[in-house]
Amino acid sequence: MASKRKTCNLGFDFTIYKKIAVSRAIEAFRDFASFKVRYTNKKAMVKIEYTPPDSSDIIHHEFANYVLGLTKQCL
Amino acid sequence: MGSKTKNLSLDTTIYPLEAILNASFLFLDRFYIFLKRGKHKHILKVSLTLKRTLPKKKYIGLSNEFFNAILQSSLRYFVSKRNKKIRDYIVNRALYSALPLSDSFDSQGEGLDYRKDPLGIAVPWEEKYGKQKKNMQSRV
Repeated sequence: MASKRKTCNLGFDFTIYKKIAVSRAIEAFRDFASFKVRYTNKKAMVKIEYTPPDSSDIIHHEFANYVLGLTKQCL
Repeated sequence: MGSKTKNLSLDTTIYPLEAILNASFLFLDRFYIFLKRGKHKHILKVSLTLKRTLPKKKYIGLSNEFFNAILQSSLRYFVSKRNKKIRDYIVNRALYSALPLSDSFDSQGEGLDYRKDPLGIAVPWEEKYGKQKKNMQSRV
């Protein structure tokens, strides 16, 4: 049975995360999910859509971790 | 985010943002971490979700370890901030001493010829002081 498509919204505050980290992470995860991004002055609103393979629905978590890792590297 | 998620509120006036980011980076392999601002500007909300590869029993111990890691990172941050000046000085000094000699030093010798010998370095000692010695002897 095919899994349902999962949608998740994440807001990355630019006082915590770097804008370049968000855009690079989207570039890296492009093959695993589809993204819609809306940038404002204060944050990036990222809408992630993907079909979870089997019982796993962790791509949005992995994405958030990846942005955090890139932000740390930018410091 | 599921039952294995723990939400923490941290005051950035106590724990600096850099320290929180450092500690979060250390725990990326064990938790899914997401940071966001709270209602007040100085409050940072951290959500920790345990990765499925780890047993649930470890969760409480690990989240407590996260607190300790933040404290440790804060201390490191404050120490590095305090020592910034002396660190910069040491690095500047090390880099400066590795530089080649300046051009101004070389330009002092421009236009000179080794054959001219203005200081009389190439003159033998006997030629230079031999006459004086003879004079001294004749005086005695």
